Amino acid sequence: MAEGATTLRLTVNGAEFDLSIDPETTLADVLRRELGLTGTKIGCGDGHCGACVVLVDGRPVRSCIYPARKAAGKHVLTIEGLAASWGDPDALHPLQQAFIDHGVVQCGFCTPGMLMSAAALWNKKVAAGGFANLTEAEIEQALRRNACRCTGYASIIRAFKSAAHAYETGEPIPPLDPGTLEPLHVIGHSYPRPDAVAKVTGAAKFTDDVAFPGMLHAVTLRAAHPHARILSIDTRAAAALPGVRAVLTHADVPGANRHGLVTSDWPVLCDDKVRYTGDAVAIVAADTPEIAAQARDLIAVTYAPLPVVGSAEAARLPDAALVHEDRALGNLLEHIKVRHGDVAQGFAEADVVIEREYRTPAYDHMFLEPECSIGVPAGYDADHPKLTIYVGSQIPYADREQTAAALGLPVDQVRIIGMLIGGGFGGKEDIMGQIHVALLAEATGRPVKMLYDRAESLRVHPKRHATVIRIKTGAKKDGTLTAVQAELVGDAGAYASLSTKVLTRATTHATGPYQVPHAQIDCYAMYTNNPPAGAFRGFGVTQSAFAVEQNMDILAHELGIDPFELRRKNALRVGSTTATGQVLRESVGLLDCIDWVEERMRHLPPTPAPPGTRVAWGIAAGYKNTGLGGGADDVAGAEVEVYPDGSAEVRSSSADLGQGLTTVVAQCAAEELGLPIARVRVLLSDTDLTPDGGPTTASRQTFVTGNAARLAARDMRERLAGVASERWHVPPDAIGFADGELSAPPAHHASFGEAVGWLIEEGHATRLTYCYHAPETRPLGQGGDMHFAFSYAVQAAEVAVNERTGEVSVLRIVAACDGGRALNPQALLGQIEGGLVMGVGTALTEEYRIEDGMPQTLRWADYGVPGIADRPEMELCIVEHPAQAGPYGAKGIGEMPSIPTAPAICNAIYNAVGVRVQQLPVKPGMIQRAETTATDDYA
Amino acid sequence: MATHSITVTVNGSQEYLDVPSNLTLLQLLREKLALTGTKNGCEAGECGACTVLLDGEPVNSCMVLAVEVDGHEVVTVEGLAEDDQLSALQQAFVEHNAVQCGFCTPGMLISSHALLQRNPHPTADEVREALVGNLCRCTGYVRIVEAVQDAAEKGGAT
Repeated sequence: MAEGATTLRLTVNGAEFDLSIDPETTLADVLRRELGLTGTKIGCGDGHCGACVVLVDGRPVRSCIYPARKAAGKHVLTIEGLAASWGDPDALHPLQQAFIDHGVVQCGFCTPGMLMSAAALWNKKVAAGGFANLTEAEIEQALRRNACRCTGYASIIRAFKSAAHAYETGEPIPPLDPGTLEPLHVIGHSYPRPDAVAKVTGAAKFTDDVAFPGMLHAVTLRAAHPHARILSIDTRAAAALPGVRAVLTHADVPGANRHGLVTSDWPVLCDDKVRYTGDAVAIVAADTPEIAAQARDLIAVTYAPLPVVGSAEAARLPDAALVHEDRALGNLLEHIKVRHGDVAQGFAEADVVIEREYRTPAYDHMFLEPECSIGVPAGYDADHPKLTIYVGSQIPYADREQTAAALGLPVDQVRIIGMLIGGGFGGKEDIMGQIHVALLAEATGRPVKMLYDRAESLRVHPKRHATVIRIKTGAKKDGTLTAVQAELVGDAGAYASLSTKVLTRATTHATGPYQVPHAQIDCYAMYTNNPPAGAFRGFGVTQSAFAVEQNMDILAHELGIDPFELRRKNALRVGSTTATGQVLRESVGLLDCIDWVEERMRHLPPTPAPPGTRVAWGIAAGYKNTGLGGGADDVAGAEVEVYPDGSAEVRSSSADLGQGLTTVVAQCAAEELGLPIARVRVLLSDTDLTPDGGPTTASRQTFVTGNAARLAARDMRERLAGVASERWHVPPDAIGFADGELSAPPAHHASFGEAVGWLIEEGHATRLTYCYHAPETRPLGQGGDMHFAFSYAVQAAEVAVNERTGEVSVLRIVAACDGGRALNPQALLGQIEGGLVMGVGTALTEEYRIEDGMPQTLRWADYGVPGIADRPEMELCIVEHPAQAGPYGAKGIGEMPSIPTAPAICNAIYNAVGVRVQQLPVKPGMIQRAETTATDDYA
Repeated sequence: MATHSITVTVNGSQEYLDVPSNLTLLQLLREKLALTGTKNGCEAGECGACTVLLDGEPVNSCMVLAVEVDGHEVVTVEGLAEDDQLSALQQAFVEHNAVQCGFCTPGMLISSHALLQRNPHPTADEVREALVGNLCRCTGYVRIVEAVQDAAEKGGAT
């Protein structure tokens, strides 16, 4: 027994274990590290997010803060044992089955903890006689401390009720049917994710669930100051610590010591300066995470602190310190401009002009799974002839390129293998530990894992841009918009990341989804000493919509026009020109969204105001581009291979962050090949085995990789039809593909597998790759099509505002969303519900706080992720205006739902209590103070 | 944290509130109702700066849970004056220089007010005994006792 160790006897999932453990060890560590039960997840390490919930003697506990020794002599039940605890280990627990049937499972990282908390309630009810008196409040109470960032919780409630209903009556409640277009063979039907069973049973492997023999553990020494010159780095004491295998600094980076998705300005390991507190100064690999952390604390770095650039506005001051000293533009990363018509003329024509300033803070994605990378050195074993990195990444090929550049290797000497991703939302696009584990693996000759804890995740990865938006909107008496002028100042943070792209989207969408004849919009992306800002669901449009949609409501109020009517009058429609000079030729469902939301809102029975509150509705609209646009060649590749057993596999490097791309890709291929979906496998995110699908960003993957899969399958179908046509002497287009068969009635039939056999016999390839190029777009400033498609949304939010305290609760949201066509309606509902609840968080609870370059939000509990009790009632409408070039008419949907939510809530607050909140997130004090001082605006 | 809907009368006006189980009356007053006159000195029931009247009796509001005041009546220092007219007690505190830093003052006033309600003409010892749970670091208490007795002479609790 090791020194200080203690013995522990406990029962886990029915099996008894005798262990020798450190008395400080948590139950989660015993389960994950000692017993290999990696179904139990660690999301925050602080007992807040609930991903680690297991049952101890039937009671739910947070295993990440539960000392393992407290479980001595007790029965622990984890997700891996849940099915067997209900009876049959080979059948799913009713809750597991209901989670799958109701589309609850998205990224799957919260799922084990969610299910275990639900199971505790389930067992309690069963013991008490059943579910006859089950209330929604009971479910909420049981799950109130389990965070989910994907689903918006609504489907979880539906799933629990359905399982309970089935227990009582033998019949589950059917999943919600959103009422979409007539389905094709496969397209338009809802299918569960192929990984759903693995995710509800704990079998699904995320990066930290994988280990290799001889694997080391790595940590990073972060900057001690937001801005400082590095004078010296002394690693000798750290390197001398027993168990330490490598300590690396910038001097050990063999290739380029700068990476970046757009601009290479982000140091792999800092050399001259540190520019934010998440900067990496040195990295350590050691036998255990504990030794690595101990060694990190022995590294001595001396700094000469420099003045801190704490905000985008401060970065613009003439005497501001320079974040990057070698740039001709100083702290200005980019000045982005939209020029359309003549704003002077536009405002001259206006009868009313509204000018306001709005502020939005930084936000964190708060994906449930913190970043983790594993590097395996070249030649480590037969499976790893080349340097290999396992990581849950939104852009595997960009990881490969940046890693290869830093290591001075050709790109084909690096392989990225994508793991399951426990949520991304834009936050897993940039390099985090990928290059670091590659360097350490090569330096030590052993596999190296680097797992961030929540504090490090919060400190390091890029955020949503904090912005200051001054916007002026002019309109005629009848409500016709005449001009928009706006200035946006965006906090890009220490490194460029995707700032120029994100803030371009904020700029080009700053007229809102409206026809505005004259627009002049200037955006200044500023370097600061804050964490870099990058991609986050909404990609800049969340911020401009907050400003645009409140100005629209103020305008409606001033003009005495109904807010729906004002929006309807100016709404983009087929034939409209956007502020970037793009003529919309098709697929503009905005008016239908407005009509549906107005109709629903007006017909819903009013909610009685809880005592002391005032209740009101508010509305907002929005639009969001699908795809990269702006002149980028938006390419995605997919490979289809068919097999004599009658199955097919589709491959692409595109990522499934939980949004459901895997199913969509399978559906597209199955539709074209006439196969049942169960016979189409999907392999994603492996740079050696899958063609480049490009970044999973900009709501683009359904459109581009969906199309690549569709067209690869179509070409394969033509190839199969070709060989069948020769055998059967019928024209190829007379051959039908359906239900796993080829047929040319009345005479000819063959199974799909048989036809694949013919391909092989005749020496044809059974696989092919299709490289899909989305319709051409043009750069900002050149007019024409800046984007190949847009999605549209309208939402009405009903809020209750406590007049005395200023507290706001969102009671209901009515939302309509035009995503072209619903390929998988259940998955689409999940995107919308999850987006709405994330939007509620944006409006009311979430904020990543930074003071003078020092992050103040360092724990899960500091942030404000909405919980199950924060979710409003949601009524949804899927509007389908098919886009011609989209796969079966589909456009992007990932970002659209969360964009109008915050402004709709703020408009509702105004309608309830007459206070205009111009700063996010809305805090009770803003409303309370504004009421006390009787001013109209709180900025 | 579970939340509870409560109704409480504060300084005469009825408030409808949703409060988490662990919220104290002190937090309710300061954070939800913005009644920041009641001070947080120790959050341990020792210093008395947070004293308020609960159904007329002085309590340390940091030691009372918000859910406990459901259906009850609370008076804070903001409720002592009427129509911007200081109470005799408040006026006496001003005139006798019983206020220095002012942080203990709200709790002192509430405890003194409660004393005068039940004993309109207290002796100096009775005043000292009534204020035993209210600590003051500035005045040495002498002027506070004088002020309370003066107020009693001039009109009792009001």
